[in-house]
Amino acid sequence: MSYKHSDSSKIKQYIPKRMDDEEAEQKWKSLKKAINAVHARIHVTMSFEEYYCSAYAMVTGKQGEMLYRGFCEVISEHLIHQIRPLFENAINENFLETLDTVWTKFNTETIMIRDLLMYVDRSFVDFHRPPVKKLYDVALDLFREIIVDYPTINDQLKAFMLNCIAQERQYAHISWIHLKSACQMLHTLSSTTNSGNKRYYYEQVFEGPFLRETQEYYQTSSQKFLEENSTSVYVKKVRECFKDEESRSDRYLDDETMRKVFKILREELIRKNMQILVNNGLVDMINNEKYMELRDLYELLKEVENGLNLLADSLGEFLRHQISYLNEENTEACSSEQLTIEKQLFKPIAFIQSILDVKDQFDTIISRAFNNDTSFRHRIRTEFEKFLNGNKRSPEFLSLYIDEKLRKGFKEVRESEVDLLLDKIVNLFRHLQEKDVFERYYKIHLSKRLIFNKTSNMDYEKSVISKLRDECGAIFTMKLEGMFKDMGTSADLMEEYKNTPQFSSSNVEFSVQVLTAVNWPYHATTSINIPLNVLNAFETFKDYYLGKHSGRKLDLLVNQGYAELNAYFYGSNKREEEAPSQLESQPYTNSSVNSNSSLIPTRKYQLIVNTYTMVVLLCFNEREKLSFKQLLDETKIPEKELVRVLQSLSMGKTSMRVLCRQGKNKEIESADEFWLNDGFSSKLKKVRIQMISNRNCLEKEPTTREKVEEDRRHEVEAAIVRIMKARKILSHSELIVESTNQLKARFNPDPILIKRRIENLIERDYLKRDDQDQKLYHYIT
Amino acid sequence: MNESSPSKSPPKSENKLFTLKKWNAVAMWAWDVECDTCAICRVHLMEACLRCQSDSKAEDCVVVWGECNHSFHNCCMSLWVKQNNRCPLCQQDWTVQRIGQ
Repeated sequence: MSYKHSDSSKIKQYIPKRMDDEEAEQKWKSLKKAINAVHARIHVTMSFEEYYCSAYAMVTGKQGEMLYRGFCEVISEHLIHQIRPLFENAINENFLETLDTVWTKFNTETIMIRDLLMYVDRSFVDFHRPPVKKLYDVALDLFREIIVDYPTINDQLKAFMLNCIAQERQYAHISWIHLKSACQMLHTLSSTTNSGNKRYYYEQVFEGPFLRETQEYYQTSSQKFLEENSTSVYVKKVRECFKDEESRSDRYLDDETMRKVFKILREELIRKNMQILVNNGLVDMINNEKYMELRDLYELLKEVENGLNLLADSLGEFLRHQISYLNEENTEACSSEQLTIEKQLFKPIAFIQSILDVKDQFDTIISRAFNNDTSFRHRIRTEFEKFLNGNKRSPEFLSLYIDEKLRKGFKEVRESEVDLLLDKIVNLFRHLQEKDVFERYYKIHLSKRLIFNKTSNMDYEKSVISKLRDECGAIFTMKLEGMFKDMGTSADLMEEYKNTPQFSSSNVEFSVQVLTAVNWPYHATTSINIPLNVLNAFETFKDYYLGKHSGRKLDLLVNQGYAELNAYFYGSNKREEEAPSQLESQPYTNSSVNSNSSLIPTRKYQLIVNTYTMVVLLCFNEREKLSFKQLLDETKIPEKELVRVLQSLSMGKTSMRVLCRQGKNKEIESADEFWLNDGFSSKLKKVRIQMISNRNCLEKEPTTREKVEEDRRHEVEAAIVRIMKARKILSHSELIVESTNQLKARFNPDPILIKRRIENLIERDYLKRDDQDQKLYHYIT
Repeated sequence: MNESSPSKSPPKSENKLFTLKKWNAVAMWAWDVECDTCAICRVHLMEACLRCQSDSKAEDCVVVWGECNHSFHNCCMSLWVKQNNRCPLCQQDWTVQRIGQ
């Protein structure tokens, strides 16, 4: 046919007639037969195309309704009469297998039938109002309602699925392939439910009960694990549980379920028990250095919220316990009776050493077991800071520790490791709040090392300084470096001076160390009476020095320096006869020595003494016997120092006393008299007279503290002036904040201290208050 | 009280008991100044002025004395005289008396 002729004729719209009911019945009957044949898996006489046409005709003939309803009826009947009874025979093991087969078969058949009735889906379903489901979906609904929701089947299904999994958890072998298809079936059946959730049916029938059971299972097993195992074994078990569940999900459950199972595992196995795990395991693992196990524990706790916090807390707690124990050890040693000098020295060094050791231990733990976790590092650092700064004497102890190490030259450490140890020490220093106190002590200790030449290795000294410089800036170490420089220039100066005629004219072997004031923790001393011929040596040098440097003044530090004296002891034979009885009642005279002195011949010793002692001893060249009062007047040595000198000379070991003393009381009094001990003897030719250390170390402490306080006042003022000079006008609170920021590298300034300094500066006309606003400060230029 | 004293034994002045063999003294130098703070920068004269401290030239920061005997950091003063050739303390004309070394 050609369309050319049709332009005149109207295109008639084809309106299909309604197929009459009888014809429709006929067609449906043959279709129904075909459907049953598919279910029964037998051949039918008509071809696929003929069936398709029948369905097409029925739908176009407005008999689709009959076809649709008929389809539902046939499927329902099939399910009720053919399928459901199958399950009644299926007992135990093969229930899931049966379901698998039935479901697979039903699925294929339904697809075949749907293809036969394809036109129903294409036309009838699409245009039907209200909307109806497609044939396949209806079939799924029917399967769900008639088979899976059928109470006995439903119960059995759940029971078998859960039972299989329970068995597998006990390491029984199960045919999980049927489980997998059951799950898939439930997923497929979920797709046609009216709920918006595409997993609704799966969740309802299987997942919900499964998760409940999982939770119960792990709740009980975790208790059992805990009771039976150590933390480390528990951790391993938990790892295994995770692995098992993961493999289970991989094989037959879906990812979503796995996520939910993991959540339960985390909750039941980890979160609920983590406190117990950490309490029971952490300390043990640390003490036995079980880094791998600690690592596992860390990884486990990482899985749950707050897990790492808990671990960090416990670690901090343990650390606090470890170091507070150190403190106890030390305070105990401190309170028990009188401390000998060695013990006093030992204490700070042991204290710092223990902190370093504990810090090492925790650093190792964090790097080897806790993945270098910054929050852990932070926690540990805070604990150390708290501890270190909790002890007011930490800055002093740290400096003493370094002093000890530098004097001994790090003998106990391999050379290659010295630098590492120094880094650790400086790291500890970093934690100190009162860096200025440390600096002061360090200066005191360093100056002693330098002046007495006690440093064993200059490179290490310099290394410490450069590390401190890196840490705190050049200004912090400027004076310390100045001290080293002074030593160098002094040595050069002496070389030069030795070649001058002035030097060779002197009969004493004289040398001097010239220090720059301010760099050293020393102050000019009040002058004392030094015998002229001795003083001359210094005065000659002083002239030479001042000639070289203009604008300077040079003061002898009489509390420093040392001398070597040739001392002659002639022995005596008179004294013991003259005063036998009184001596016995005076404990500090040397009666016992003198009793034999007539036998002792003249001996010569070299005494190494400090400058004060030198002056005192030289007095005995002129007079045989001197009272304390006389010595004080003659030498002008400060009373306290003179007492110490005389104590050192007359109160040591009996045979080692250079001077004899006669006095009433234990302490030296001004009427006490002194004379040479002719019975002095020593195995060595060179004898160093040790100064008695200040009896009370505690007495010394506040003076250093006081000096620090004074320095701080200056530093605070300097900071305030610097800030105000730059800012001109500033409010009180801003000034406090800025000063604190500037100063905190050295110490933590108390706001009250800053406030006092501001007031002081106002009095001294550096600053003034604003006329209107009392809280505003102006800088006065 | 003096019975036990050894005063009766003759003094051995011909042979001295102690003779000094060697003396290692320690001395400390400072600038010979009346006021130890620099009135210009308000830093102790024994320490370098702030400018030299921050340029780490502390070594070269010496002290200068005027004819009026007032003393300052040399570098502080040389900046000062550019603006005002008088001593900041006594207002006399500034002439250098000596420079420390």
